[in-house]
Amino acid sequence: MFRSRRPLFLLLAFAALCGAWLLSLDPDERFTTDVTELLPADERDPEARLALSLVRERQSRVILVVLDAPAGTPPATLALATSAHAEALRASPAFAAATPLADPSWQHALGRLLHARRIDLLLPGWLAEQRRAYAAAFPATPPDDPAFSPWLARRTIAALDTRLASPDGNALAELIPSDPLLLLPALAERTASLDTQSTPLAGRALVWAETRAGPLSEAGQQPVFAALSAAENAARAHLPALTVRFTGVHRFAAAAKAATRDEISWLNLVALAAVFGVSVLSVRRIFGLLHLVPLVALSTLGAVAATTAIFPRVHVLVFVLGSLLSGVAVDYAFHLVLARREGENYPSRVRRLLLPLLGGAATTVAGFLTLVVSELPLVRQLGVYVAAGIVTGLGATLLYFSAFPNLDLAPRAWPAHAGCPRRFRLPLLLALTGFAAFGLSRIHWNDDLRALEYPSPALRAEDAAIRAAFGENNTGVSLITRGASFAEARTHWQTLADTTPVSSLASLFPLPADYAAALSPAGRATLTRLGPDLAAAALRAGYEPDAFQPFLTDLIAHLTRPAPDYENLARETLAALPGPLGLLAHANSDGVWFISRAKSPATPAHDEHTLSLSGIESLNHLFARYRVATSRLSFAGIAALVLISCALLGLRTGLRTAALPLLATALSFAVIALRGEPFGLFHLLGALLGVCLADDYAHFAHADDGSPGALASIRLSALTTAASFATLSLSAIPAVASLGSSVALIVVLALVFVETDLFSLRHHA
Amino acid sequence: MNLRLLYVFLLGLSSPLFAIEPFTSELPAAARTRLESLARPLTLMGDFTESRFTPLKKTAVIVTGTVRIDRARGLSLTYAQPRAPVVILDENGLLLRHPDGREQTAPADATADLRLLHALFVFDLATLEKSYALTATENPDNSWALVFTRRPEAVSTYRELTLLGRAERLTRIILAKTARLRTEIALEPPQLDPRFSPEELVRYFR
Repeated sequence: MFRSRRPLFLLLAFAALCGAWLLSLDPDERFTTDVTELLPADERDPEARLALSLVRERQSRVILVVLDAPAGTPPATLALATSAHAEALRASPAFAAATPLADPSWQHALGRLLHARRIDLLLPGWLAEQRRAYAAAFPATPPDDPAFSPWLARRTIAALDTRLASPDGNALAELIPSDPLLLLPALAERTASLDTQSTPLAGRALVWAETRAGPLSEAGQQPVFAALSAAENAARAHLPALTVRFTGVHRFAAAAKAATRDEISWLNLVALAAVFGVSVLSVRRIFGLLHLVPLVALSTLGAVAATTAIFPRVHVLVFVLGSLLSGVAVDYAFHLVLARREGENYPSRVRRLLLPLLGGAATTVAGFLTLVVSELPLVRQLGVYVAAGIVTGLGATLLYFSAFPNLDLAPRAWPAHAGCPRRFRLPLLLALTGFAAFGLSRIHWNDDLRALEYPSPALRAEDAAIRAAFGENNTGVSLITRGASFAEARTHWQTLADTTPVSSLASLFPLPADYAAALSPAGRATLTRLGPDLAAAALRAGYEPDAFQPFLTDLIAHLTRPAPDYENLARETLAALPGPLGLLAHANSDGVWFISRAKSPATPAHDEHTLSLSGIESLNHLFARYRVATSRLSFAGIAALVLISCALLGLRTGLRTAALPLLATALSFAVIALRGEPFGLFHLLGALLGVCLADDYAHFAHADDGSPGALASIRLSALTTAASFATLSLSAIPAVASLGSSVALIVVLALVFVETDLFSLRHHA
Repeated sequence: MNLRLLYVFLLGLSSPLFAIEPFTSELPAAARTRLESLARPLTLMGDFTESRFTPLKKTAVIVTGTVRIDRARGLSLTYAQPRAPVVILDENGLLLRHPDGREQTAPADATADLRLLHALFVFDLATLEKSYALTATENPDNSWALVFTRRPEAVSTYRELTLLGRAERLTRIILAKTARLRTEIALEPPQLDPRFSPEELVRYFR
């Protein structure tokens, strides 16, 4: 059977099946570069769910545009160009909104909205505050004290007099007839730091825009960039020398996608070249190495097919990390081909080598399969990818070489070496273990989700400059407060606001208790009396008799109609908020959240309902949790590896075999820690992979019968693997580089241990 | 020097000869000279009393304060009330600087008004002429009045701006949006060319 062509047909059929499956997939639908998709969509931590929804919701669809005119440009010309830019964006189906921030129309719309709802939204809080002041001034009086309303009217007029005499009193003269309680000016003061409009420099205009599609989808990238380009041209029609800059998650996402695709291509090519280069140095029949190409291709194909068959969406980072398969998949081929004996037929050779091959592969597969229970989608996907790739690689190797049973790569004879003298082995092992323990004690962890992102310093710098132009800076802290409903979120926010000076859109909404009190019979009675009392107090203070008629008319209308339900009022108000303000709160099926700004950068989150938010950095604490969970899984994987080794080789040899990869890994970590490099999740994944690879070599070494090909196969396997992982360490993505450097170091150390036979595994030696 | 540069150079030399003064026909030479004289001091400081008339009240709301003018930095008003912010009006618009350090700018749609008020306080007639017509009056008792009336196409919300004075002194400024919504600022004799300390410059200007 082995001599027939059937195995090749089988492999071709497998390749065709996998290829057809992959071709049937919609790449945009099945693959993602979204960093947030590295975290589970059903994240159990409510804080993380909140942060994820924030990143994924409207906030991420905002595009900020800065238009700079050359010096001396008349403001009217710049205004015309800015207006043309915003109009062009609004005309594009890619954009849902675009507003020049100098254009006061959205602020006027906001002003009209708040003015129309001032009594519903702001009067309850004002009334509650006045009741508290009255209770403080007259502690013994009952809540329904009839003297309250006249007192309140006098207090209101006194506050009004003070305000009219203030520097901005004139500016309020037109508002006061409809707002003598100064509800709107008080709100403006409470939310002053939320003002998204900074004072732009002369010759600069700002446009705030929101796209329809999310920034990570195709519809949220090229069509958006095309619309921005068209808008730029429309603006330049009025001002040819205009400079236009923009920022948004869209730009980062597009740049990351392009860079990651490029990196996948060149890393795989360089890794392949490195594997080939090392192989050329190790074997004489170079063209025989071409047999490795279909094995690497089949192994990768099987890995991608299995991963995409199991996971509905796969992160492309899995494929970047998966480029390691080109180093691993050839291990079994090298061992199978190089360990051949003259005159031995293929089935006999397979039977002889099956134990180390299966031992090596089983430990690697077991190690990676433990990752499948991880919470982190990336880790789960990587576990399946590598495990499937190893299984496919081993199966393909066994089938493939049955068609080429006499293939001889003619390994080059390396200089003869002697293992480490036996008397030195134990002291050396103890010394190395001591060094490893010392180094491991120096490990410090740095969990940063940005380690997974392709670095874009130029984009980041431009983003910071544009955000600074919009008045966003890194001073202060953003906090996010959540609740199951508007009422709950607003109540939680009050807990925060009572202890920390914060500004939030939440202050637009009354406290549910205050709202209920204002609508109660006692509240309505007070408000009913307030109208005449206010008019009388005003008259006494020298105001015209009809000074507040618009307010009194609205108050009577409010008292005669049924009050809106709190949740409906809040929901409708939020939905009607124009411009950027609507982004400062959000309501969906998961609940309601408000963003607050606190000036002090040291402001802590005060209770379980509020968390500090600094964009994606806020997810780093989660990343740390995943790292801890992954380290537990890694230990489980290592335990599985030790058990399998002991089951296959007996307790004593099994432990010795397992000790080789563990010491290589511990030493590698020690070296990296002593270099001062901070550790993260990807070092752990690298360690797990390194342990599995090194364990392969330990198994091959144990099976070493002294033939020249046996050690050569380990050497070639290790060097090709080290070469491919060293290639990964060149990646611009910090996580990938971490994984590459740690695995390369582990593999090199494992090879040194095998060459020196430090663990006395090679029984012929 | 090529011909183009020579042309520009000659044009630069000759421009003052042909420059058209703002309000050429409306402003008598004596009044123009007086305004130039009023605009001459580089710094100025004086007390003022502001009467704010609104349709809300039968009588004006009276406030007092001190005005500081630095030709390079703009105008600054401090009010006598406790916790009142410093009001700064300059080429960049209006800034309220509160005692707690908080700074507040005027909304964007107030820009046109603020630009014209700034022009009035620094006697920038060229800017005023674009939005206002001028009526100048000289009285036998040596008092005078310059009344700037909003042109129909102008965007300013101030219908009328009035400068009143006697002899070489500006005594009163009236800013009127309507007949019932206006501010009258009575000016005490100012201190001319006072020297503002670095601390004062930081506190009262930007």
